[in-house]
Amino acid sequence: MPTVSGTVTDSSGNVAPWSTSWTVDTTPVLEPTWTGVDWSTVAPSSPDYCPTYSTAYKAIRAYRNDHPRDVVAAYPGVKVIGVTDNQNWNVTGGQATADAIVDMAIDFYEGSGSAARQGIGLDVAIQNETDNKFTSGTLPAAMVTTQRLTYEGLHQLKANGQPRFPMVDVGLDMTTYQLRVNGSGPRYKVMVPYIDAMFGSYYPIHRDDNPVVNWGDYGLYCDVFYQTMLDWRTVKPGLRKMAVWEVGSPIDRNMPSGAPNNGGTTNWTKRPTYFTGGTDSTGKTWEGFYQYNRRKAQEINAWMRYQCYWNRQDNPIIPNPFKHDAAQGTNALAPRWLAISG
Amino acid sequence: MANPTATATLNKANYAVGETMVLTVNHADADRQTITVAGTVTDSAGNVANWSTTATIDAGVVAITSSGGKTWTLQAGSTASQSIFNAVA
Repeated sequence: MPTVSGTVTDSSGNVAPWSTSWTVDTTPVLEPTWTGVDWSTVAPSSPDYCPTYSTAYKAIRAYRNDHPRDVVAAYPGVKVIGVTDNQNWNVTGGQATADAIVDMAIDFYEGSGSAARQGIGLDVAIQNETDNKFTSGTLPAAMVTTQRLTYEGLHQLKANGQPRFPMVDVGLDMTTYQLRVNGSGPRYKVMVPYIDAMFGSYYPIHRDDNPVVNWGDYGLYCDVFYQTMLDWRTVKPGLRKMAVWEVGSPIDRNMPSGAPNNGGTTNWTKRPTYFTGGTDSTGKTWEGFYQYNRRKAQEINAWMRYQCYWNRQDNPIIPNPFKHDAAQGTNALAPRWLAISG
Repeated sequence: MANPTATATLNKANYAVGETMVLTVNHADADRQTITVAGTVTDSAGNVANWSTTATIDAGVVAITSSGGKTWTLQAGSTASQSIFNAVA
Protein backbone atom coordinates (compact mmCIF):
# COMPACT_ATOMS: atom_id res chain seq x y z
CA MET A 1 0.00 0.00 0.00
CA PRO A 2 1.71 3.23 -1.12
CA THR A 3 2.00 6.07 1.38
CA VAL A 4 2.64 9.79 1.10
CA SER A 5 4.09 11.52 4.14
CA GLY A 6 5.56 14.82 5.14
CA THR A 7 5.90 17.45 7.81
CA VAL A 8 4.69 20.84 8.88
CA THR A 9 7.44 22.95 10.48
CA ASP A 10 6.90 26.17 12.45
CA SER A 11 9.29 29.10 12.71
CA SER A 12 10.98 27.58 15.75
CA GLY A 13 11.69 24.36 13.93
CA ASN A 14 8.98 22.36 15.68
CA VAL A 15 7.80 19.58 13.37
CA ALA A 16 4.43 17.89 13.02
CA PRO A 17 4.55 14.77 10.84
CA TRP A 18 1.67 13.63 8.66
CA SER A 19 1.00 10.66 6.36
CA THR A 20 -1.78 8.84 4.53
CA SER A 21 -2.05 5.78 2.31
CA TRP A 22 -4.09 4.57 -0.65
CA THR A 23 -4.67 1.58 -2.91
CA VAL A 24 -4.92 1.35 -6.67
CA ASP A 25 -7.28 -1.08 -8.37
CA THR A 26 -5.28 -2.85 -11.05
CA THR A 27 -8.00 -5.26 -12.09
CA PRO A 28 -8.16 -5.07 -15.88
CA VAL A 29 -11.35 -3.60 -17.18
CA LEU A 30 -12.64 -5.80 -19.97
CA GLU A 31 -14.83 -4.67 -22.80
CA PRO A 32 -18.31 -6.18 -22.49
CA THR A 33 -19.02 -9.53 -24.08
CA TRP A 34 -22.63 -10.50 -24.66
CA THR A 35 -23.89 -14.06 -24.66
CA GLY A 36 -26.40 -15.51 -27.03
CA VAL A 37 -27.84 -18.57 -28.69
CA ASP A 38 -28.79 -19.76 -32.14
CA TRP A 39 -31.94 -19.21 -34.17
CA SER A 40 -31.42 -22.31 -36.17
CA THR A 41 -32.65 -23.32 -39.56
CA VAL A 42 -35.63 -24.87 -37.81
CA ALA A 43 -36.86 -21.54 -36.53
CA PRO A 44 -38.63 -20.54 -34.42
CA SER A 45 -36.91 -22.52 -31.73
CA SER A 46 -39.09 -24.86 -29.74
CA PRO A 47 -39.47 -24.19 -26.02
CA ASP A 48 -37.32 -27.08 -24.87
CA TYR A 49 -34.49 -25.88 -27.05
CA CYS A 50 -34.69 -22.25 -26.11
CA PRO A 51 -36.00 -21.60 -22.64
CA THR A 52 -38.18 -18.54 -22.24
CA TYR A 53 -35.32 -16.40 -20.99
CA SER A 54 -33.82 -16.58 -24.47
CA THR A 55 -35.83 -13.46 -25.23
CA ALA A 56 -33.27 -11.62 -23.14
CA TYR A 57 -30.26 -12.69 -25.16
CA LYS A 58 -28.39 -9.83 -26.77
CA ALA A 59 -26.73 -11.92 -29.48
CA ILE A 60 -28.37 -14.35 -31.87
CA ARG A 61 -26.82 -16.53 -34.57
CA ALA A 62 -29.05 -16.90 -37.64
CA TYR A 63 -28.59 -19.11 -40.70
CA ARG A 64 -31.00 -17.65 -43.26
CA ASN A 65 -30.98 -14.20 -44.85
CA ASP A 66 -34.67 -13.67 -44.04
CA HIS A 67 -34.36 -14.64 -40.37
CA PRO A 68 -32.89 -11.47 -38.81
CA ARG A 69 -36.26 -9.72 -39.09
CA ASP A 70 -37.93 -12.62 -37.27
CA VAL A 71 -35.23 -12.63 -34.61
CA VAL A 72 -35.85 -8.98 -33.79
CA ALA A 73 -39.58 -9.55 -33.59
CA ALA A 74 -39.18 -12.54 -31.24
CA TYR A 75 -36.21 -11.42 -29.15
CA PRO A 76 -36.66 -7.79 -28.17
CA GLY A 77 -33.40 -7.80 -26.22
CA VAL A 78 -31.23 -8.61 -29.23
CA LYS A 79 -28.41 -6.20 -30.04
CA VAL A 80 -26.52 -8.11 -32.72
CA ILE A 81 -27.34 -10.90 -35.15
CA GLY A 82 -24.67 -13.01 -36.78
CA VAL A 83 -25.96 -14.24 -40.12
CA THR A 84 -24.92 -16.57 -42.91
CA ASP A 85 -26.94 -18.32 -45.58
CA ASN A 86 -25.25 -21.35 -47.06
CA GLN A 87 -28.30 -22.20 -49.14
CA ASN A 88 -28.95 -18.83 -50.76
CA TRP A 89 -25.56 -17.13 -50.84
CA ASN A 90 -23.15 -18.63 -53.34
CA VAL A 91 -19.65 -18.12 -52.01
CA THR A 92 -18.28 -17.83 -55.56
CA GLY A 93 -21.30 -16.02 -56.96
CA GLY A 94 -19.61 -12.68 -57.42
CA GLN A 95 -21.82 -9.62 -57.83
CA ALA A 96 -25.03 -11.64 -57.60
CA THR A 97 -24.09 -12.83 -54.13
CA ALA A 98 -22.99 -9.39 -53.03
CA ASP A 99 -26.25 -7.89 -54.30
CA ALA A 100 -28.32 -10.46 -52.43
CA ILE A 101 -26.51 -9.74 -49.18
CA VAL A 102 -26.82 -5.99 -49.66
CA ASP A 103 -30.52 -6.51 -50.35
CA MET A 104 -30.79 -8.16 -46.94
CA ALA A 105 -29.19 -5.12 -45.33
CA ILE A 106 -31.48 -2.78 -47.26
CA ASP A 107 -34.54 -4.66 -46.13
CA PHE A 108 -33.35 -4.88 -42.53
CA TYR A 109 -32.39 -1.22 -42.13
CA GLU A 110 -34.57 0.52 -44.70
CA GLY A 111 -37.52 -1.78 -45.26
CA SER A 112 -40.87 -2.06 -43.58
CA GLY A 113 -40.60 -1.83 -39.80
CA SER A 114 -36.93 -0.92 -39.97
CA ALA A 115 -37.24 1.93 -37.46
CA ALA A 116 -37.10 -0.68 -34.70
CA ARG A 117 -33.94 -2.23 -36.13
CA GLN A 118 -31.66 0.78 -36.55
CA GLY A 119 -29.64 0.10 -33.39
CA ILE A 120 -29.18 -3.62 -34.01
CA GLY A 121 -25.97 -4.89 -35.54
CA LEU A 122 -25.77 -7.35 -38.38
CA ASP A 123 -22.59 -9.38 -38.53
CA VAL A 124 -22.39 -11.03 -41.92
CA ALA A 125 -20.33 -13.88 -43.28
CA ILE A 126 -21.05 -15.36 -46.66
CA GLN A 127 -20.55 -18.94 -45.56
CA ASN A 128 -21.05 -20.82 -42.30
CA GLU A 129 -17.83 -22.57 -41.17
CA THR A 130 -16.23 -21.69 -44.47
CA ASP A 131 -12.95 -23.46 -43.84
CA ASN A 132 -14.79 -26.76 -43.49
CA LYS A 133 -15.73 -26.31 -47.17
CA PHE A 134 -12.27 -25.35 -48.46
CA THR A 135 -9.84 -27.50 -46.50
CA SER A 136 -6.76 -27.25 -48.70
CA GLY A 137 -5.15 -25.35 -51.51
CA THR A 138 -5.54 -21.81 -52.73
CA LEU A 139 -8.99 -20.33 -52.38
CA PRO A 140 -10.79 -19.83 -55.71
CA ALA A 141 -10.33 -16.38 -57.18
CA ALA A 142 -14.10 -16.07 -57.53
CA MET A 143 -14.42 -16.59 -53.79
CA VAL A 144 -12.08 -13.70 -53.04
CA THR A 145 -13.90 -11.52 -55.58
CA THR A 146 -17.24 -12.35 -53.99
CA GLN A 147 -15.88 -11.45 -50.56
CA ARG A 148 -14.53 -8.14 -51.86
CA LEU A 149 -17.76 -7.20 -53.62
CA THR A 150 -19.79 -8.09 -50.55
CA TYR A 151 -17.51 -6.05 -48.31
CA GLU A 152 -17.66 -3.08 -50.64
CA GLY A 153 -21.42 -3.34 -50.97
CA LEU A 154 -22.02 -3.44 -47.24
CA HIS A 155 -19.58 -0.58 -46.68
CA GLN A 156 -20.98 1.68 -49.38
CA LEU A 157 -21.34 5.36 -48.60
CA LYS A 158 -24.36 7.58 -48.93
CA ALA A 159 -24.25 10.77 -51.00
CA ASN A 160 -23.28 12.70 -47.87
CA GLY A 161 -20.25 10.48 -47.35
CA GLN A 162 -21.65 8.61 -44.39
CA PRO A 163 -21.86 4.80 -44.29
CA ARG A 164 -25.18 3.49 -45.54
CA PHE A 165 -25.05 0.51 -43.17
CA PRO A 166 -23.06 1.67 -40.12
CA MET A 167 -24.25 -1.26 -37.99
CA VAL A 168 -22.98 -3.96 -40.36
CA ASP A 169 -19.69 -5.80 -40.04
CA VAL A 170 -18.35 -8.39 -42.45
CA GLY A 171 -16.37 -11.39 -41.33
CA LEU A 172 -15.18 -14.92 -41.89
CA ASP A 173 -16.63 -17.85 -39.94
CA MET A 174 -13.75 -20.21 -39.15
CA THR A 175 -13.51 -23.44 -37.17
CA THR A 176 -11.11 -24.43 -34.46
CA TYR A 177 -10.61 -27.80 -36.14
CA GLN A 178 -9.51 -26.43 -39.53
CA LEU A 179 -7.40 -23.70 -37.96
CA ARG A 180 -5.51 -26.26 -35.88
CA VAL A 181 -5.38 -29.26 -38.17
CA ASN A 182 -5.34 -27.92 -41.73
CA GLY A 183 -3.92 -24.45 -41.32
CA SER A 184 -6.93 -22.58 -42.64
CA GLY A 185 -5.78 -19.31 -41.07
CA PRO A 186 -2.95 -18.58 -43.51
CA ARG A 187 -4.98 -19.96 -46.40
CA TYR A 188 -7.77 -17.45 -45.75
CA LYS A 189 -5.49 -14.43 -45.41
CA VAL A 190 -6.26 -13.55 -49.00
CA MET A 191 -9.82 -12.77 -47.83
CA VAL A 192 -8.80 -10.71 -44.80
CA PRO A 193 -8.54 -7.31 -46.52
CA TYR A 194 -12.31 -7.62 -46.95
CA ILE A 195 -13.37 -8.33 -43.38
CA ASP A 196 -14.08 -6.41 -40.18
CA ALA A 197 -14.21 -9.38 -37.84
CA MET A 198 -13.34 -13.00 -37.18
CA PHE A 199 -16.17 -15.33 -36.21
CA GLY A 200 -15.86 -18.97 -35.36
CA SER A 201 -16.97 -22.33 -34.10
CA TYR A 202 -15.09 -22.97 -30.88
CA TYR A 203 -16.16 -26.53 -30.06
CA PRO A 204 -14.14 -28.22 -27.29
CA ILE A 205 -11.98 -30.86 -28.90
CA HIS A 206 -13.15 -33.75 -26.72
CA ARG A 207 -16.82 -32.89 -26.48
CA ASP A 208 -17.81 -36.00 -28.37
CA ASP A 209 -15.81 -38.40 -26.28
CA ASN A 210 -18.19 -41.10 -25.21
CA PRO A 211 -19.30 -41.96 -22.57
CA VAL A 212 -17.27 -39.40 -20.64
CA VAL A 213 -16.75 -35.84 -21.85
CA ASN A 214 -13.12 -34.81 -21.57
CA TRP A 215 -13.20 -31.35 -20.04
CA GLY A 216 -9.97 -30.08 -21.53
CA ASP A 217 -8.09 -26.81 -21.22
CA TYR A 218 -9.67 -23.97 -23.14
CA GLY A 219 -6.41 -23.04 -24.77
CA LEU A 220 -6.19 -26.33 -26.62
CA TYR A 221 -8.94 -25.27 -29.01
CA CYS A 222 -9.40 -21.53 -28.43
CA ASP A 223 -5.88 -20.09 -28.63
CA VAL A 224 -5.60 -20.81 -32.33
CA PHE A 225 -8.19 -18.08 -32.97
CA TYR A 226 -6.05 -15.45 -31.23
CA GLN A 227 -2.91 -16.65 -32.95
CA THR A 228 -4.74 -16.34 -36.25
CA MET A 229 -5.98 -12.85 -35.44
CA LEU A 230 -2.40 -11.73 -34.85
CA ASP A 231 -1.36 -13.25 -38.15
CA TRP A 232 -4.31 -11.70 -39.97
CA ARG A 233 -3.37 -8.29 -38.63
CA THR A 234 -0.29 -8.37 -40.86
CA VAL A 235 -2.79 -8.01 -43.69
CA LYS A 236 -5.46 -5.98 -41.90
CA PRO A 237 -3.93 -3.83 -39.17
CA GLY A 238 -6.45 -2.83 -36.54
CA LEU A 239 -8.55 -5.98 -36.90
CA ARG A 240 -10.19 -6.31 -33.46
CA LYS A 241 -13.68 -7.70 -33.50
CA MET A 242 -14.29 -11.34 -32.71
CA ALA A 243 -17.28 -13.47 -31.83
CA VAL A 244 -17.96 -17.06 -30.91
CA TRP A 245 -20.66 -18.03 -33.36
CA GLU A 246 -20.97 -21.56 -32.06
CA VAL A 247 -19.84 -23.53 -29.04
CA GLY A 248 -21.38 -26.38 -27.17
CA SER A 249 -20.84 -29.56 -25.24
CA PRO A 250 -22.84 -32.39 -23.81
CA ILE A 251 -23.30 -32.63 -20.10
CA ASP A 252 -20.87 -34.85 -18.28
CA ARG A 253 -21.83 -38.31 -19.48
CA ASN A 254 -23.58 -39.87 -22.44
CA MET A 255 -25.09 -43.23 -23.17
CA PRO A 256 -24.21 -44.91 -26.44
CA SER A 257 -27.59 -43.81 -27.72
CA GLY A 258 -26.62 -40.25 -26.95
CA ALA A 259 -29.02 -39.76 -24.08
CA PRO A 260 -27.47 -37.95 -21.16
CA ASN A 261 -26.78 -39.20 -17.68
CA ASN A 262 -25.30 -42.60 -18.42
CA GLY A 263 -26.25 -44.90 -15.58
CA GLY A 264 -27.31 -41.93 -13.49
CA THR A 265 -23.69 -40.92 -12.98
CA THR A 266 -23.70 -37.49 -14.60
CA ASN A 267 -21.92 -34.77 -12.68
CA TRP A 268 -24.35 -31.92 -13.27
CA THR A 269 -21.91 -29.33 -12.03
CA LYS A 270 -19.36 -29.94 -14.79
CA ARG A 271 -20.87 -28.33 -17.86
CA PRO A 272 -22.17 -25.13 -16.23
CA THR A 273 -18.91 -24.41 -14.43
CA TYR A 274 -16.84 -25.31 -17.50
CA PHE A 275 -18.67 -22.74 -19.57
CA THR A 276 -19.44 -20.00 -17.06
CA GLY A 277 -16.81 -20.43 -14.34
CA GLY A 278 -16.88 -21.75 -10.82
CA THR A 279 -15.89 -24.80 -8.84
CA ASP A 280 -17.48 -28.09 -9.72
CA SER A 281 -18.37 -30.77 -7.22
CA THR A 282 -14.96 -32.45 -7.56
CA GLY A 283 -13.27 -29.26 -6.37
CA LYS A 284 -11.97 -28.33 -9.81
CA THR A 285 -12.17 -24.59 -10.38
CA TRP A 286 -12.87 -23.47 -13.93
CA GLU A 287 -12.19 -19.97 -15.22
CA GLY A 288 -15.06 -20.52 -17.63
CA PHE A 289 -15.08 -20.75 -21.40
CA TYR A 290 -16.82 -17.37 -21.53
CA GLN A 291 -14.31 -15.69 -19.23
CA TYR A 292 -11.30 -17.30 -20.85
CA ASN A 293 -12.16 -16.05 -24.31
CA ARG A 294 -13.14 -12.60 -23.16
CA ARG A 295 -9.75 -12.33 -21.44
CA LYS A 296 -7.71 -13.82 -24.25
CA ALA A 297 -9.18 -11.36 -26.72
CA GLN A 298 -8.34 -8.49 -24.42
CA GLU A 299 -4.75 -9.70 -24.15
CA ILE A 300 -4.22 -9.13 -27.86
CA ASN A 301 -6.26 -5.93 -27.84
CA ALA A 302 -9.12 -7.63 -29.63
CA TRP A 303 -12.77 -7.46 -28.62
CA MET A 304 -14.79 -10.62 -28.08
CA ARG A 305 -18.08 -8.91 -28.83
CA TYR A 306 -20.37 -11.87 -28.11
CA GLN A 307 -20.50 -15.63 -27.67
CA CYS A 308 -23.38 -17.77 -28.94
CA TYR A 309 -24.15 -21.27 -27.69
CA TRP A 310 -25.27 -23.77 -30.30
CA ASN A 311 -28.42 -25.08 -28.75
CA ARG A 312 -29.67 -27.17 -31.66
CA GLN A 313 -27.19 -30.04 -31.80
CA ASP A 314 -29.35 -32.99 -32.77
CA ASN A 315 -26.53 -35.51 -33.20
CA PRO A 316 -27.49 -38.17 -30.62
CA ILE A 317 -23.84 -38.79 -29.83
CA ILE A 318 -23.37 -35.15 -28.85
CA PRO A 319 -26.42 -34.03 -26.84
CA ASN A 320 -25.52 -30.38 -26.45
CA PRO A 321 -28.84 -28.63 -25.95
CA PHE A 322 -29.60 -26.71 -22.80
CA LYS A 323 -32.55 -28.92 -22.06
CA HIS A 324 -30.40 -31.82 -20.87
CA ASP A 325 -29.63 -30.12 -17.57
CA ALA A 326 -32.72 -27.95 -17.32
CA ALA A 327 -33.80 -29.90 -14.22
CA GLN A 328 -30.87 -28.29 -12.38
CA GLY A 329 -32.82 -25.02 -12.28
CA THR A 330 -30.65 -21.97 -11.72
CA ASN A 331 -27.57 -24.21 -11.66
CA ALA A 332 -28.20 -25.37 -15.22
CA LEU A 333 -26.12 -23.95 -18.04
CA ALA A 334 -28.80 -21.86 -19.76
CA PRO A 335 -29.60 -19.41 -16.95
CA ARG A 336 -25.93 -19.10 -16.07
CA TRP A 337 -25.05 -18.44 -19.72
CA LEU A 338 -27.56 -15.63 -19.80
CA ALA A 339 -26.55 -14.24 -16.41
CA ILE A 340 -22.91 -13.76 -17.31
CA SER A 341 -23.65 -11.68 -20.39
CA GLY A 342 -21.67 -8.52 -20.06
CA MET B 1 6.06 28.15 21.60
CA ALA B 2 3.40 25.55 20.77
CA ASN B 3 4.03 22.69 18.33
CA PRO B 4 2.08 22.60 15.07
CA THR B 5 -0.48 19.88 14.35
CA ALA B 6 -1.16 18.29 10.99
CA THR B 7 -3.49 15.78 9.40
CA ALA B 8 -3.45 14.46 5.88
CA THR B 9 -6.37 12.93 3.99
CA LEU B 10 -6.99 11.68 0.46
CA ASN B 11 -10.31 12.16 -1.29
CA LYS B 12 -10.62 8.36 -1.76
CA ALA B 13 -9.16 5.21 -0.27
CA ASN B 14 -8.98 3.34 -3.59
CA TYR B 15 -8.29 4.68 -7.07
CA ALA B 16 -8.46 3.38 -10.59
CA VAL B 17 -5.27 3.67 -12.61
CA GLY B 18 -5.05 7.16 -14.04
CA GLU B 19 -7.49 8.71 -11.63
CA THR B 20 -6.66 12.06 -9.96
CA MET B 21 -5.76 11.82 -6.29
CA VAL B 22 -6.42 14.86 -4.08
CA LEU B 23 -4.28 15.13 -0.94
CA THR B 24 -5.34 17.67 1.69
CA VAL B 25 -2.98 18.56 4.52
CA ASN B 26 -4.68 20.54 7.25
CA HIS B 27 -2.41 22.11 9.80
CA ALA B 28 -2.78 24.42 12.80
CA ASP B 29 -0.58 26.12 15.34
CA ALA B 30 -1.68 27.76 18.59
CA ASP B 31 0.90 30.48 18.01
CA ARG B 32 -0.25 31.19 14.49
CA GLN B 33 -1.73 34.57 14.03
CA THR B 34 -1.99 37.16 11.39
CA ILE B 35 -0.92 40.58 12.47
CA THR B 36 -1.34 43.90 10.73
CA VAL B 37 1.41 46.42 10.83
CA ALA B 38 0.33 49.91 9.84
CA GLY B 39 1.75 53.35 9.74
CA THR B 40 1.95 56.63 7.88
CA VAL B 41 4.30 58.62 5.75
CA THR B 42 4.17 62.41 6.20
CA ASP B 43 5.77 64.89 3.84
CA SER B 44 7.14 68.27 4.73
CA ALA B 45 3.83 69.88 3.90
CA GLY B 46 2.05 67.63 6.35
CA ASN B 47 0.43 65.40 3.72
CA VAL B 48 -0.07 61.90 5.02
CA ALA B 49 -0.11 58.60 3.24
CA ASN B 50 -1.31 55.54 5.11
CA TRP B 51 0.22 52.14 4.66
CA SER B 52 -0.35 48.73 6.16
CA THR B 53 0.62 45.15 5.60
CA THR B 54 -0.12 41.80 7.16
CA ALA B 55 2.18 39.08 8.32
CA THR B 56 1.56 35.60 9.56
CA ILE B 57 3.31 34.43 12.66
CA ASP B 58 4.23 30.74 12.67
CA ALA B 59 2.63 30.04 9.28
CA GLY B 60 4.00 26.50 9.08
CA VAL B 61 5.85 25.08 6.13
CA VAL B 62 4.33 21.99 4.53
CA ALA B 63 6.79 19.59 2.97
CA ILE B 64 6.42 16.18 1.39
CA THR B 65 9.20 13.91 2.55
CA SER B 66 8.05 10.64 0.95
CA SER B 67 5.94 10.79 -2.18
CA GLY B 68 4.83 7.15 -2.43
CA GLY B 69 6.13 7.12 -5.98
CA LYS B 70 3.86 9.93 -7.13
CA THR B 71 4.47 13.49 -8.22
CA TRP B 72 2.41 15.79 -6.02
CA THR B 73 1.56 19.24 -7.34
CA LEU B 74 0.47 22.04 -5.00
CA GLN B 75 -2.88 23.40 -6.07
CA ALA B 76 -3.93 27.03 -6.29
CA GLY B 77 -6.70 26.62 -3.72
CA SER B 78 -4.24 26.12 -0.88
CA THR B 79 -4.41 28.47 2.15
CA ALA B 80 -2.33 29.29 5.21
CA SER B 81 -3.84 26.32 7.06
CA GLN B 82 -4.63 23.92 4.23
CA SER B 83 -2.37 22.67 1.49
CA ILE B 84 -3.91 20.76 -1.40
CA PHE B 85 -1.86 18.53 -3.68
CA ASN B 86 -2.84 16.49 -6.75
CA ALA B 87 -1.23 13.40 -8.20
CA VAL B 88 -2.22 10.73 -10.75
CA ALA B 89 -2.92 7.24 -9.45
